Amino acid sequence: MDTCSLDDTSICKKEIFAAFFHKQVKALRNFLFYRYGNQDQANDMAQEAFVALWQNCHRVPYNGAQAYLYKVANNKTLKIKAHEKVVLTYQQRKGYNEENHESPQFLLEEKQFKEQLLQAIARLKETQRVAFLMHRIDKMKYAEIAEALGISVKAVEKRIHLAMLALKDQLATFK
Amino acid sequence: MKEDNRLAKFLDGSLSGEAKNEWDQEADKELYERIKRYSADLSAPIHTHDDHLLQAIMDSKATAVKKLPPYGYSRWLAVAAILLCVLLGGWLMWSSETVLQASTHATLQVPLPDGSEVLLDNGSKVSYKRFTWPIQRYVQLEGDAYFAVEKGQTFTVKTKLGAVRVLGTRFDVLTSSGKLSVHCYHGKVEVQQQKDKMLLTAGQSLRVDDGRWERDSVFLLEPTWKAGQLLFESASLDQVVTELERSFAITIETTAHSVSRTQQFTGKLPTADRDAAIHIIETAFSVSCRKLADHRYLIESK
Repeated sequence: MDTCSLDDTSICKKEIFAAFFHKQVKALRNFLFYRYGNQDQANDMAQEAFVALWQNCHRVPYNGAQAYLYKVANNKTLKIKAHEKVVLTYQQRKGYNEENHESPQFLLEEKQFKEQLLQAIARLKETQRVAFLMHRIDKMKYAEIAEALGISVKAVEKRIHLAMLALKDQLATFK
Repeated sequence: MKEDNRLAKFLDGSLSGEAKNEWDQEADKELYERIKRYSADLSAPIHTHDDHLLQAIMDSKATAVKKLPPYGYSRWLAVAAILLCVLLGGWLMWSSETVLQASTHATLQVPLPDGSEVLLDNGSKVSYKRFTWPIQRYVQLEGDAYFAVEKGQTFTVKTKLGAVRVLGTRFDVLTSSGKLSVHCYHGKVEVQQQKDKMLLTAGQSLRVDDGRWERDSVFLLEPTWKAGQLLFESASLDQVVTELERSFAITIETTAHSVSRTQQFTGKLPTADRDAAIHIIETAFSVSCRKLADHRYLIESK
């Protein structure tokens, strides 16, 4: 069997690889950022993972490409020890102007809540934070997260659940 | 215990039926909803030029492919080529022969790898394999040669007429007359022709002529042709005459049979001067020599 033959869905095809890259690169990079909090590192490791995929494209079926990508990225991150605090930002919500009409007291309280939420997320256990942020920021479904991390959907749900519990406890003052 | 993933279900909006009713009773419902709402606005602050990155990734393949070692049949081709070179080189070394031939006018001294020496008579040829010499001391000879062999493993001289094997000795092998003639001057040699063998010790000579083995004593100290003179030790007239015939390529008849039985000669005869040599014989044995024709002589008692 010729493993180099390019069928219609082969990741070796430039257009398919490019489409796959654009679909996955942000989530992969973010995933690495959630784990280690360093943007440059996340960038470099994501690039390395894609290079590995591109060079071994004839050995990776399209369906397994995402899992392969995260596996390579995970192997690379094992060597990294430095761990920085994960710093996130809030997007400006479009077409949502209600806040402008809120009282200054409400705006202040909201600002405090946002900051507290960021700190609470940064303090989450790594596995919980990664799963939580993949869902909240990258809008990945639990099944997609499970596939990327190589775990079951139930395990993803467990991590999300525990993350929510931990966040609630830390934000208890806002009850 | 039932698995409790209700917060995960809530977060992705998949609460349904009974679970949804239970959720409405949740004490921290509002806080959870707030977390859900605000966390949806989060973003990771990474901005890069993804198109440039994609280009860099795709370009990496060209360089990576070059680094890949050549697999498949080409590797076996390389292995086969190397093997062939080694075998060919080995065979060439194994079979390479050193061939030395003396000119028709002079003798040639040939040193062998272990320090043994061969003195080749006019026009004779010797060949040996330098590469296998440490394993097997084996010399092929065409013509006549004198050997001074260093002690060691069996030294074999192979001729068309038979083989001579020795351990460490001095001897000569003559084949130019069409007969195998071996003179052993020192040590021991073994002469073999086909299945027949004979051991010669120092001072013995052997002539193998058409299946007839004639053992004789050596009355010369060295081969006649080696020193430019004939060296005799206790030689009878008949033996001297035979050697003179050979050296000067002449025929000598003799009627002095009584002289041959009673007298012996020890001394030198020059091989370059026929008349001087004959004169010495006349004096030593007290005989007279007459020239009958070119290359024909008659020796008579006085």
